[in-house]
Amino acid sequence: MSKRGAELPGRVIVVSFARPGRLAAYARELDLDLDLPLYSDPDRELYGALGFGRASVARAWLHPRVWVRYARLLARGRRLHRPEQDTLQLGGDAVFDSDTRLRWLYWSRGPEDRPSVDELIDALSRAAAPPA
Amino acid sequence: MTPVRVGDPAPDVTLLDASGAEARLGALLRGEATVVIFLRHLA
Repeated sequence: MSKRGAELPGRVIVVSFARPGRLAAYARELDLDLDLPLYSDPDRELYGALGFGRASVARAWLHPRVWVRYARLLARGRRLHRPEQDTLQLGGDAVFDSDTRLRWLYWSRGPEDRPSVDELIDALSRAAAPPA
Repeated sequence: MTPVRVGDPAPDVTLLDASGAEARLGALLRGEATVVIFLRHLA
């Protein structure tokens, strides 16, 4: 997403439930663009308000798509380690307009599940468009 | 907290930056369309 920053009709912020002191380390581990604003929601208040639920152990660890995701990470040189965070907590993506109204929401079905960058850009474009 | 649905205003939530400083969600979002990516943590 950050590689397509010039195309974006809005801005991007990233939220984690990791404690603030762990944010920078996670950004490095996840190979996130360090210029993206990164915030912590340690009590998961916002995760809860947007309905991001929890995966079952089977969905989070045994689903074939999860293992495909891990295989890709390993191929890129990522080393697996004992989880320090709650790996069952699901996330998602939300698009808000300039008046802070929620315009689009994607709930992840598993830890590997994400909308495509094109879907995000399309949702952001619609939120940025002036009302008809 | 009441669940937020599409079309609703952003919830009144305070987030923390890497230094632990508080930031109101509404202030972060106001003025420009914004995509918020919520991380999921892998091993």
